[in-house]
Amino acid sequence: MIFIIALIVYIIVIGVIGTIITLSIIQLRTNRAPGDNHRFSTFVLSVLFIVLFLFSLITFLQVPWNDIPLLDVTDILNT
Amino acid sequence: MMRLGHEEKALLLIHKHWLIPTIRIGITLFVALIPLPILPFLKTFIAPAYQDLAFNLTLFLISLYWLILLLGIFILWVEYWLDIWLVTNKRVLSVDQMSLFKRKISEFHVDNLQDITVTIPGFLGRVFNFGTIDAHTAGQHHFMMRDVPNPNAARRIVLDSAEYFINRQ
Repeated sequence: MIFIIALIVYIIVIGVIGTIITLSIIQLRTNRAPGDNHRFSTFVLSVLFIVLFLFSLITFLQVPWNDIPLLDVTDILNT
Repeated sequence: MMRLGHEEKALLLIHKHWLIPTIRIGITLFVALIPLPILPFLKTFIAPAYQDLAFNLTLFLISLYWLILLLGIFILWVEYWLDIWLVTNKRVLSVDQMSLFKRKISEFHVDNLQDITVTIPGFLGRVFNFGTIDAHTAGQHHFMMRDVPNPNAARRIVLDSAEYFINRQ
């Protein structure tokens, strides 16, 4: 159950970030001034986004979501 | 891409000085490193049975945090590339990229130029040679761009363009 909720929240967050980045790349292409060349730097940023997205996806899948004890939070702390 | 008019030539394209996005991106990268020292301390605070879970969860949250910061860098990047002054032989086009999707485009014809002021903001401006250009037109409008690299040369080009345009008429 926790996994499903986390997955939905994760998809929404990645979707929002990805949409804004895509729109900003489109805006950079359509509104560029004559003589401007920012393709390489924008490409580097896009690659960085893909790398970070894959990293977050791997870390998301490594979390045992259903083992998170939501009610007994005090058990987690090293007391 | 922006289009120029018939017989119009771009003389100068001004972006903000490279120092401005570099400082902002540098601050963002510094902020990105802040949560990393949490990871070694997790063993101290978390019970042994949950240490792996806490480590993986923290790593996942850090990766999301980095993605959000990368989004911030993208927004800075868009603002840097789209915030321009384009000086042509006929007009000066000022594009003010206020946020990711909010932009203000204004222009004035060079023959309407009344005066143009350059202000060097302080020590950094003097060392790295950037400043503010403020152009006043006949209609009492003023067009300003901050952190312009080599502002005196830019002012000279705008004035030369105006002079050339007026002499040609």
